[in-house]
Amino acid sequence: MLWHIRFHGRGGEGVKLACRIVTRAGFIAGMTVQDSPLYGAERRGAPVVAFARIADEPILERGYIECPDAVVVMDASLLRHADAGVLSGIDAQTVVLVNSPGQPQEVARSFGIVGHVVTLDVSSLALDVLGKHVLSAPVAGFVARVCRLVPRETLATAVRTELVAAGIPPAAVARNLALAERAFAAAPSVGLPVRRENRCASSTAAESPFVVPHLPPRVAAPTIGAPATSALRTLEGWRVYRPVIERNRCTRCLICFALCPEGAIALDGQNYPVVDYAHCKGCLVCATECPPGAIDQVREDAA
Amino acid sequence: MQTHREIFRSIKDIPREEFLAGGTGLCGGCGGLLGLRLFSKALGPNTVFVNAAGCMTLLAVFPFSPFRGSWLYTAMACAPAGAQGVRDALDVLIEKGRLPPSDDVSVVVVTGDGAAHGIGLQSTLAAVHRGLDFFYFCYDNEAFGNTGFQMSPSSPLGSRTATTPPGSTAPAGTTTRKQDLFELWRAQSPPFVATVSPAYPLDLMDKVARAKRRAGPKLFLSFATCPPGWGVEPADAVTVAKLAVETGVWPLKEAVDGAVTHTVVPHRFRPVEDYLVVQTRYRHLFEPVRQEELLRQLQEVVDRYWASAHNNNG
Ligand SMILES: Cc1ncc(C[n+]2csc(CCOP(=O)(O)OP(=O)(O)O)c2C)c(N)n1
Ligand code: SF4
Ligand code: SF4
Ligand code: SF4
Repeated sequence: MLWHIRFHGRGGEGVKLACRIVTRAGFIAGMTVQDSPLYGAERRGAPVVAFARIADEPILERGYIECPDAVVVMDASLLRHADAGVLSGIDAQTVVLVNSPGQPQEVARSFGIVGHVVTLDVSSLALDVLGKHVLSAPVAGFVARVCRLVPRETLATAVRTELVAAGIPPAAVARNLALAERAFAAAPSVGLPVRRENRCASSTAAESPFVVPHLPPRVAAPTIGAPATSALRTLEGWRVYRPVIERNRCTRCLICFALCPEGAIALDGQNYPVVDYAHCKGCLVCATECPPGAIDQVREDAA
Repeated sequence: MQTHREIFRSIKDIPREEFLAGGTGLCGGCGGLLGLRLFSKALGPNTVFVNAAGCMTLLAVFPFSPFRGSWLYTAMACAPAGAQGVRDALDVLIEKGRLPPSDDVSVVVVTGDGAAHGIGLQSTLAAVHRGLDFFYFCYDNEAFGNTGFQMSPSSPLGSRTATTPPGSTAPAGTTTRKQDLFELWRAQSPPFVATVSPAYPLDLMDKVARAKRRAGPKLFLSFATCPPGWGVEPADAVTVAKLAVETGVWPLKEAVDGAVTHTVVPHRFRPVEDYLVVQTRYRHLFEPVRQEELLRQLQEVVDRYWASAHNNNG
């Protein structure tokens, strides 16, 4: 059997490492494995995808997983963006693991997910134990359990191996181990569908050679004619916390306005700061630097 | 201590307008972006940015651009040559009467430290030598950030980068000293050379106002916290940049026609360790064993710098 698992999350959440821990666990358990992440030029907060193939036979496929047996949604905000392709290639048998405090049926209904949805509030577990939104170890625990890939002890060995290799200090490794085990214990055991053939055979079949056309320079080096078009892109999905300004505590010192890297804080008619949530990335520089502590950090709704 | 500020005396003087729109793909808490935003606020909207490949490539990703004016993208090594072309074209158009002088714009090069200190240094020093009238804005995150935080000539002694991981043969991580771009430029006597920090917006913006009045090459070397590369939380980006100044690691200064003035001097310097200990790129200096000798050296580099700065009355 060859299982295809696709991980979706945002830069900085530990997508690549979660995938690696899961495949490492499979490897320790004696299976054949393959893992590869894919990210574009963008940074923390931008969509990241990673692929795991785990099999009890040699793996001859390579590349993008078009039709996964399991999809791991580490950041539910991605479900709102069709271009992130989180649900592409799934069917009724696909197991969809969503990091969300919601009930599986609710999440399935609100995002129109056809697969077998399983939810776990991994973010809260991580924030509880680590105080940080770093999800690699608990997501690996979630996946290992739901997909019935490896026993708990094998998962623990894989977490330790990968975190030590990543240079994480012993105390933090211990916290991540405990966290992975909590996620493992909290998740249901569902198992992956047993399929006889790859539903997306095209991804393995040799395709006819694609000829790259020669383009004139005006097409190859395009021009943006209008100013400040980046404002059309909204980035609210990048946030784990949103800054909320408490007007009655604000002294109008304007420090948050000066120090917001994104220029996402404007001033109203009375010189009170106002956050532009469409462009705030949730870095919380404003909250750290506000002298009277007038900016609260509020968790963005998970789903 | 701080020198007399001419235009930007208080935060209330900061223009309300943003000349760099939101929606870019840079990391949350990027110190490079904050520095550039403050810089462009002081410079105004009439600019052409010529961008060497680096993290700031992500400012404009087709079909989106955060700029009100133009942006020209170049390879890592040749942004100053691109700026020369833009400047020449503007001059020719003005001379021929096809562009009113009032519509002239400032030409700004934007690069990271890898391009500025290394791969683009030749074309930069050549442009300074030719006396090109341009601003050169380098955001210094002390490594090649865009390609995975590899060591650059600006990476400081004792720091971890992707290509200088601390190990048994080199427990320090980076074994070379940070190259001094301020002095490399100053040796050629351009009219204006400055170091700035986004944690000191008024100092940064006042320097831009002063530099604007002068023709010729003008350097802004902007210290830039890189949360993923330095191993700090995005929320602490400004705090860490402030610590660099308070510990004396990043001196804020300018050289106008070659004469150096320190524009912000802490009343009491904090120990360098306060700055190092909050970043995971320096964690190997503290655990599993404290590298006392190296920590002493790092403090000594800073002490020696300030001793000579004070002796020169600068
Ligand atoms: C001539 C050349 N060599 C290599 C590259 C690949 N490259 C793109 S960005 C980058 C890193 C640039 O580092 P730096 O100038 O320090 O800016 P940062 O990424 O830190 O913002 C490299 C090596 C390139 N674009 N051009
Ligand atoms: S959280 Fe960051 S991006 Fe958002 S308003 Fe505050 S400083 Fe700006
Ligand atoms: S930093 Fe705090 S007190 Fe100052 S203007 Fe912003 S919210 Fe108000
Ligand atoms: S990697 Fe560092 S310099 Fe590059 S965008 Fe992110 S924070 Fe900024």
